[in-house]
Amino acid sequence: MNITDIRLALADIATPFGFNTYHYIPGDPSSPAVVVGIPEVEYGASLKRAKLNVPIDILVAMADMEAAQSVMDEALSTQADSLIDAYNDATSTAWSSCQVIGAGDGRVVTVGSTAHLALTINLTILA
Amino acid sequence: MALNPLILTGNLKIGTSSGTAVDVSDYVTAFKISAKRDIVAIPATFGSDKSSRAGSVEYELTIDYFSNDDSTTGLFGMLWAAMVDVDGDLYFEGTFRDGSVSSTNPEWSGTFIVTGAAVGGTVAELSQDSQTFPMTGAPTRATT
Repeated sequence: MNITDIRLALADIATPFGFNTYHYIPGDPSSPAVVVGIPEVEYGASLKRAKLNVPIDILVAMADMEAAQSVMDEALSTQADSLIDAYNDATSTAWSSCQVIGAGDGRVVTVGSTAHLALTINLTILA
Repeated sequence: MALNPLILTGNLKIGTSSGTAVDVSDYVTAFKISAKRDIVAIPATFGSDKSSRAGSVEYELTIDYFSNDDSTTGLFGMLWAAMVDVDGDLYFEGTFRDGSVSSTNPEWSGTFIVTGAAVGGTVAELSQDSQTFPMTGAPTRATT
């Protein structure tokens, strides 16, 4: 199990959806951004596997609140070919299974010099 | 005597024979070997009180595992295949600790009868199953 490979693969999944993607926590991300957070690791999920809870933060600059929330709404929706759909059951050599278990915690955060609307998608990965 | 607690970190192989057993450790979340003995009750007589004697011993293998139907060679696939087999038995070997087999890390092996297998479960959760299988005899405990 390699956490860097997992975070890279999770960031890549969001790239086709128009986000600037970061497999690390950036100092001053470009909006809109998907940031793969630091996972919580539960070792011993099976004899050879670990279970990871990974937060995926979506950050959108608040210059236009309606546009920002439109990006959030689309990110959380579950229509075919959505971001949630892409994370659910995403396949990668970095893990055995990937599942979205929830999303929320909408909030305003200041990252770098810019105020962003933020929310978190929570994933469970077996790797 | 110093206590050396056992924390499960080993491996488990399963197959139709010792030569074909494959490592299923990725799937296994719990692995336990157990033995239990029947008690033969002897009724009281005018000359003696009711008493008990040791009966026969039954050995069991308990496996909790991630159950997945994406492969016929995964753990669930092997158990499912055994369910439709007339004999329905499988071979296992495994240790409870990582590392080489030794006097402090014995390898257990034996044959068990597959009495159940399941796949599926709750929406958006891992498919898991737990089964307890009777063994066909006492397991072997090897130290080399």
